[in-house]
Amino acid sequence: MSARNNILARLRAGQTNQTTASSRDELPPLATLPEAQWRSRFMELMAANHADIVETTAQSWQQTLADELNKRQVGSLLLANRAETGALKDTLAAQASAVALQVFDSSVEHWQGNPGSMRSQLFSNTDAGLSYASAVLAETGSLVLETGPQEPRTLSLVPPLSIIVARESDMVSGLTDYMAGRAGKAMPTNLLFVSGPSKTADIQQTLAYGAHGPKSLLILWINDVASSEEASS
Amino acid sequence: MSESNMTQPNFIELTEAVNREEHEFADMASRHFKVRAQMALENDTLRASFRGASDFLQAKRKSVFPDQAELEDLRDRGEAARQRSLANLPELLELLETNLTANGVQVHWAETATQANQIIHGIMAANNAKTVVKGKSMVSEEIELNHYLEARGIECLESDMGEYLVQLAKEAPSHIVMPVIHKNKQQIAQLMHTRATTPDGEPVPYSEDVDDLIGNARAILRQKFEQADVGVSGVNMAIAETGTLLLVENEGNGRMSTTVPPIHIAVTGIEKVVRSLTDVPELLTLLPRSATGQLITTYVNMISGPRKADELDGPEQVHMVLLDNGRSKMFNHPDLKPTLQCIRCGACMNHCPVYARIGGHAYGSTYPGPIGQVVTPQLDSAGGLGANGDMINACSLNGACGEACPVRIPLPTLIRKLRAESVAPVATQHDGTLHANGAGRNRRMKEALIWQGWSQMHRHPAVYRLGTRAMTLGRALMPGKLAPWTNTRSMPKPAAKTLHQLAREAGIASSATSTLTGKSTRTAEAKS
Repeated sequence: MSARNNILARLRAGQTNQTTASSRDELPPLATLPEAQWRSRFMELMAANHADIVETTAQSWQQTLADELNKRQVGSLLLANRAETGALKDTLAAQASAVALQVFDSSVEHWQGNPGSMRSQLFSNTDAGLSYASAVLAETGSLVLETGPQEPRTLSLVPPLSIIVARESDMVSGLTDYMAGRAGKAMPTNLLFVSGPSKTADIQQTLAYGAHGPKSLLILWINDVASSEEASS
Repeated sequence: MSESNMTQPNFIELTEAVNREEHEFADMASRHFKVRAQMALENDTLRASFRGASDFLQAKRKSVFPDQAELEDLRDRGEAARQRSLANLPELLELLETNLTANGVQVHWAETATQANQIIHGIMAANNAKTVVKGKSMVSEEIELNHYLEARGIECLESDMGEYLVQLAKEAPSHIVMPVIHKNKQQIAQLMHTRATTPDGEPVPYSEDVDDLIGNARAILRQKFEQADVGVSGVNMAIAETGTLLLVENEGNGRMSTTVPPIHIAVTGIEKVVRSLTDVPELLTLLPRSATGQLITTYVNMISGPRKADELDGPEQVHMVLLDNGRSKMFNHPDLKPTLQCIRCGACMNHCPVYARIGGHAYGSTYPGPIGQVVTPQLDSAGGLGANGDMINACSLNGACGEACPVRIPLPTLIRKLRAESVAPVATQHDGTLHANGAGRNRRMKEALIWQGWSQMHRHPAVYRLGTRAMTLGRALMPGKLAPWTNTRSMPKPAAKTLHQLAREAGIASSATSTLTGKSTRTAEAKS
């Protein structure tokens, strides 16, 4: 406790000795992107960051997922334990029968009653993980993940292919609006903004994907907002 | 003839090359600043690496700030956001502690680097932990955590690609954001081939392909993440109201280090706290743009606690170590306080012409470049101006760092003040000075006398005229060399006539005493 008190005492002594720094709270809020540009900005940035986006609908996204798994010859997929997982498993078993399905339904240490198996399973034998974005940030091209029992932290991190389901109706302009909207709400254990597959430019400024996290990011984009073009057609 | 004609590179020759680089680094580290700078300047490979990196990072930053007015507005906001936090620092730290604790994060306070190391080692000992994987953390470099833990039998592995390579080379980071920019890919290929082993225990196959190099390092480090007892990370921002640690990264090693091992220990300086989530957007907009020219990093991870009862993964313990190590002293000084606004983006070093030429290692400090020149003498663990007095002269006073800084730290002014203090007589040190430990250490009697003479001469017109007259008359007698000035420059020759003489001849001034009159005449002309 003494280190704490000493540090705070020194800081308090400094605070009284000087005039308070000019606060610039009077600055207007940061300008945000007009809504008409959200979708195109997001798509553009995600493509630039090497994410693959497949557009689908609320009715057919499970079928789209099965098609993508088949196309990419994914051997195994890890699913979170969510309300829709049972139905999803049935669809995938029927439509993507070559894919081994696993459900993340017990702790990483004691997975399926087998101590230590999950970690090595995750690191060695899982090709893909399926996650669900709770929000989408247009300005920076980011997907928001909130971790918890239904969105384990490692699910979107360890498997080489991260698949994230995102809904257009969850899109907001960007960081400023998202943070303002979160104020006062409880924080998840991890609040994550994901803006592409894992990458590094540490060797001679040369970009390489798949540094430590997923090598690929596949976004299943659910078109659940009637766009102006669709409305007019 | 060319390298491509060679088949398999000779393992022994490559090992020797890598060992030679390690030896050169150790040799350089043991030298005096001026020798280090000289060695760096003479190393063409090193210079090419830094030139390339500086040009690349400057261009990247420019591309994400296309509008100068918008950039200036963002810098105003960044500065304001950091000043708001600092204005309430003790309260925010207490609020942070309360909320982190409520979230189940254990908070520790360290006044010194040694205390921080002891706390981290204590946590490990209490949990019988033997291995650490580290995300990128400059504060852990500042306190030399790896040395401390390794001396106590704990394996510490860096997991940021750049940091990993630097550790493999037995060197130190040369940049706070891109630690291994001093090496090119050929050097890194040699390093990986001769020093890294695959998870099967074989030497990593030789390849200069960056995807191969990253793929090989990935395979090695993944195994370590899976097995490590503890993950150590830094923190980019700590949010007081929610008890949240925010980390930015591209690689995923930060997420790995803070997610997979059973214990996560975060270590950061006390200045990193902000009040609320709404303080985040402005700083998060500035940090990656200023650092690497990205709109946002691949991952922004906001950690608000260890694994909850119903959660299936994540660390069971999360610890936060708050380090002072001289920061409260900086906080107490009105001139130095803005230094704590720093968000560690590295833009100042990316824009520093001196850094681009001598590179990060020449500074010999954890934080190189302009921010390093200002911060290092203030860190309790770094030995003040006494140990770092020479590096503050590594500045051409061009001011680029001040223009690049996203939070408007007056770096050029601070560097100039530190330089003045380093040569000021100790007797003149007072409360207004930056009172870095070891002020006056650069004072040389000869230099001080020369400047006193210069000062006297400029205060007494008669002496000035006599002096300049003597220089013009005796110009033929000037020596051809005047070391150290002429070591890298040619000797200037005084003009045949003084400025006053030339002015008189041009009819600008009628007599030697009419300089003031001349001046007022010109002012009058300008007004008319």
